Amino acid sequence: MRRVVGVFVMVGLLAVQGACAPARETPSGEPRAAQAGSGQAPAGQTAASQPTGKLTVGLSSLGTAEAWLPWLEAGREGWLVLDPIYESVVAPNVQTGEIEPQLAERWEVDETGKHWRFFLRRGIPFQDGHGELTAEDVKYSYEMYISDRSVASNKATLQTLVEQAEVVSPYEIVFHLKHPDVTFLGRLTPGNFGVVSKQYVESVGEREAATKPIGTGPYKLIEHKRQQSATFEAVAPHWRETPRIKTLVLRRVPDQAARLAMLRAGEIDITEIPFKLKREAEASGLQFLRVEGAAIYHVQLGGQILPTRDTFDANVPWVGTPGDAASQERALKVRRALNLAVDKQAIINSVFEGEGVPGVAPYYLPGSEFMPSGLQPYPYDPQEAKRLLAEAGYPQGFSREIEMQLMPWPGRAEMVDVGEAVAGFWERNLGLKVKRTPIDFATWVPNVGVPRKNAWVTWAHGYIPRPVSEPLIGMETWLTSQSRYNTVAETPEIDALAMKIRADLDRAKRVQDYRELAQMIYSQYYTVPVAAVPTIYAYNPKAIAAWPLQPGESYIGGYERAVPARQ
Amino acid sequence: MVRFLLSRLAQAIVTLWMVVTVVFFLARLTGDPVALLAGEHATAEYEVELRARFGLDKPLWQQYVIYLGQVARGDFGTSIVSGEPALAQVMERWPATLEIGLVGIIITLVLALPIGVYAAAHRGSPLDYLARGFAVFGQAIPGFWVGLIFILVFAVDLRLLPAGGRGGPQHIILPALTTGWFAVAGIMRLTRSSMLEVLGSEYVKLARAKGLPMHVVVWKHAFRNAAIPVLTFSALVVVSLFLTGSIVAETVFSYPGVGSLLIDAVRKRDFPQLQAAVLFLSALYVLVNLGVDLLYGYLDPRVRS
Repeated sequence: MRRVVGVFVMVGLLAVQGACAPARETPSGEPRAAQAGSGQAPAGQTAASQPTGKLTVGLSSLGTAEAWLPWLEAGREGWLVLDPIYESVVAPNVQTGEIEPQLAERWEVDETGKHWRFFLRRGIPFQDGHGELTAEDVKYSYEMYISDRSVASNKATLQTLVEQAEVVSPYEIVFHLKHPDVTFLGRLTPGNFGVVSKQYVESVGEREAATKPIGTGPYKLIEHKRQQSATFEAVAPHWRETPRIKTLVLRRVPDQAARLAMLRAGEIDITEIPFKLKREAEASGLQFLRVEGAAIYHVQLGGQILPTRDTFDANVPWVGTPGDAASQERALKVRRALNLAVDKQAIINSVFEGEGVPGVAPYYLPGSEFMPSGLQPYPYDPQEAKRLLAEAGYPQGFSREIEMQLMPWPGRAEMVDVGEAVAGFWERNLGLKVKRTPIDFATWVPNVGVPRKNAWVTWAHGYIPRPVSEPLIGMETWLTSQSRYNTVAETPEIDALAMKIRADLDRAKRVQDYRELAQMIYSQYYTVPVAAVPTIYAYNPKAIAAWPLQPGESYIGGYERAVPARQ
Repeated sequence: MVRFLLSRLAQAIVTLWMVVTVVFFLARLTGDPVALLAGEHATAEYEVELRARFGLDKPLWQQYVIYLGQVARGDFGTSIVSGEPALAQVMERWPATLEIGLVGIIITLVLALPIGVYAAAHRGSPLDYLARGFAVFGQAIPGFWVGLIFILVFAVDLRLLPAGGRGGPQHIILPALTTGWFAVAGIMRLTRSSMLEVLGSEYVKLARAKGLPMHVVVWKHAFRNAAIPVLTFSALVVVSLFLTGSIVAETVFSYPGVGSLLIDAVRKRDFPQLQAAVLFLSALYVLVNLGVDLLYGYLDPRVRS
């Protein structure tokens, strides 16, 4: 009977296919400040703790190109495989998310904020005896990232930010920016930037280097079966952290239900599971690792665009006429009503199986230092919502239909369910007419202006924060009138604050600016925040004893930190 | 016979051209591959650069003409996602699909034909009822569900076979069973009904009246005539094992074949890869059909004349 129920759960899930520790910034970001470091590469673990055993991780993808040079992988998934091989100039602390040195021992930024100087550690070896890391390798890696061959997602950003990379000495490199930008440091973290050996790539060629990669990371690739698996061996001792597990296998299993079955069968040791499979996994005796704050969901209210855009429509109930205080007040009441009509906890319970907490403001992790203290999620009050809507002049709802675009992004399939749930609450509690329009990302992007063109369009967004100390790095794609996909509201005030944050080198002031921004978005009810949810990994407790994972990071990594169940 | 062959060949070329055209235009209606490749943080300028790199900035008709010219020269383009030649990736993955397909075909024929014949020859028997029941359920139950059931039973509960991936012979069994499931049900059902029709014919009655053993009547006299419609259906089903069946089985069992390559190409809007994979599988389908037509001629002299 249990098996039958489980089978039907899996069938239903197949039909559906596709908290938080805030990131804190190291004080090193201040002008002329320097991050303390030893100057020499740490010794890593001693020979007494040699890595043993094998860890098999089930992944939905091994990347796009499966070509193991950082600039040849387009998506974030490729870094699941690149992560063990390569390291970055700086990296977030695994507990706090605060950026700290990795290949660099310290850094400085001048008072203009345009010149970032990195002092590299000495004695960091590339794998297989391919020499020592120097500034030339960092510069070369940067140049490859912005080369014509590059499809890295960081390419456009680096091209926009960086004027030039200058090698000052073998262990010193300066990046000269086109304009001050505090987000630059976050561009040099794992997932965004990996350092390769210039000598190796130039000597064997890019093609060879992509199939037999050499980095400074704690694992070396020893076998790759295309579209199947990648097998690594621990580098022991490693200069930073010698892995505890000798053999790492990353196995590609695209189907979620199949991954869980393989975990139960003992063919893999850990995998991310969707919320809907949580109970099945629990019943099988598997244990869970949770990474809090891995995704933040909210619903965008379309049409909140600059009045100067030719598609601006003041008749949208939640937008209002610029300069007309009464109209703006009515619009605010409508936005409040749209929020109070939604039971966030019910959505968390049904869509996310009770995992997560109600959202407060889009792109902000609840409880984050960047949020003002005391901000609480909007309450669920359908009576008040109905009253507000009537007060705003819509006692029977809107005359027009709202379009809710149900768009599942890879890794955020729940966006569809969130959108569906919010639409349902609006219909039930406010009597609104909501039309659901399924659409996928590749179809939506060419019409990225649609939410701006069609003011009556809304859609649920599942934002994945990056584990860096600067939230603006993730926000910038979604927040301002210059963003590709604004999902909040286009206002001169938000634009001005975002620009101010970007240019201000004083972290304390930036934190205040972030709080002001959060307060502004919150008090104006620009969006419908829904939930901040974790990523859940199910694992076999006979294989894994512990594994500290990066808060806010929705992709597994840091394989060197995994602790086997039997040492 | 030569005329027949040439005519079939010309039809095959026209068919393939139509497939190429339909896939080319349909794929481009589904979305923007550059958006997926560039990622959400890409600038508009970077996307323009990527479009130019992949030739996607040209007018659609121009892309089509260029593509036809490339195909005529044997160049099936380069994967937008991997940067590798599209056809080379198909050929790299083809052995995996072939493994599952061939074993699936063997399982299908070994199970479906004898059971279908036996059920017809012993109409009304318990096995006949069992076979008919299986035929109905087998065609009604989706392949991916069957695959997951197999995983649960044989991999998770019994730990007899692996849950997925490609490796030794044991990795082929469950995907092949999943692929052949639908085919077994369909061919068995058709074999049974075809045999029932033939077994009721006059010449079979005569053969029985002459005192020939039942197995001779069934296999030597009846089955050959009953096999003609079964052959047509089997050929199409067999190819479908490589087309739709492989897609399902390869996805559920993480088997790195052409089917899963096709799914990936669709998801990522990798047009060259999608076109190469579809063209390859379509050519296979056309080839098998051609073979069936020739076999028809051998089995049925009326077709030859």
